Amino acid sequence: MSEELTRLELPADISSLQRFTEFVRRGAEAAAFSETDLRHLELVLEEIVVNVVRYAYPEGERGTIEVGYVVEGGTTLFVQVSDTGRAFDPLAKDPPDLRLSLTERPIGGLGIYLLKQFARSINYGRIANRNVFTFRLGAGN
Amino acid sequence: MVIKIGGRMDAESTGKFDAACDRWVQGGALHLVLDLAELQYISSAGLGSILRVTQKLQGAGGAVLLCGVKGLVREVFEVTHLLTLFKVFDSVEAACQSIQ
Repeated sequence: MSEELTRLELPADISSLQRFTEFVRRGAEAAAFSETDLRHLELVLEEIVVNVVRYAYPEGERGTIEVGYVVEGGTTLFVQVSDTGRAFDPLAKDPPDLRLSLTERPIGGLGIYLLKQFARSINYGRIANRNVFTFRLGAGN
Repeated sequence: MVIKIGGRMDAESTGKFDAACDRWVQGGALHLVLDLAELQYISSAGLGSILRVTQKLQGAGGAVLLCGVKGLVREVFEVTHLLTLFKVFDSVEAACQSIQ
């Protein structure tokens, strides 16, 4: 990724989700994403942002989230989500047990699994005291 | 009871759905038919809300029935292996008839 990211920083709050979604949609439209691709992008972004909102900052601490994107090769969107919260890698979590019945299924725990199904080259790193998630989605994926 | 859900079921919006479900369950509803035909988007938060009310109703001997499952919503139910666990119908009428 050699090009500069277009970035937006907002409070680490669930109310920021809509603005982040609208923000990355601009990049996706530039990458000629279909409506289906856009929905996949929204889903992956939501799952990452919700994880940061829930787990990155201690209760009462006002943190922020930065989302950046760049279009690669005309039809692929590279997205980076970062925060200055405590180090945590949700990608390292054990996958959910999809064999469980409806009554046995835990209410949460599907978000990381979902984003792994819809995004490509998902990565987490702790860089300069920041949690940095990156992923790619392509038009037609 | 038939519930038509449109728009989005995401982390921002599921609180209202949860609160409404709690009222219906407390009001004695045993079976909910969720018509998802107009639902454009669902995330893990939305799935969690549907699982939550499903488990409450199953505990009371009831069930959640789905219809109009298509597009991204269908994809999300499929990849999480939930589609085969729910009773899914082509129409609201078919779902309602299965309860009687």
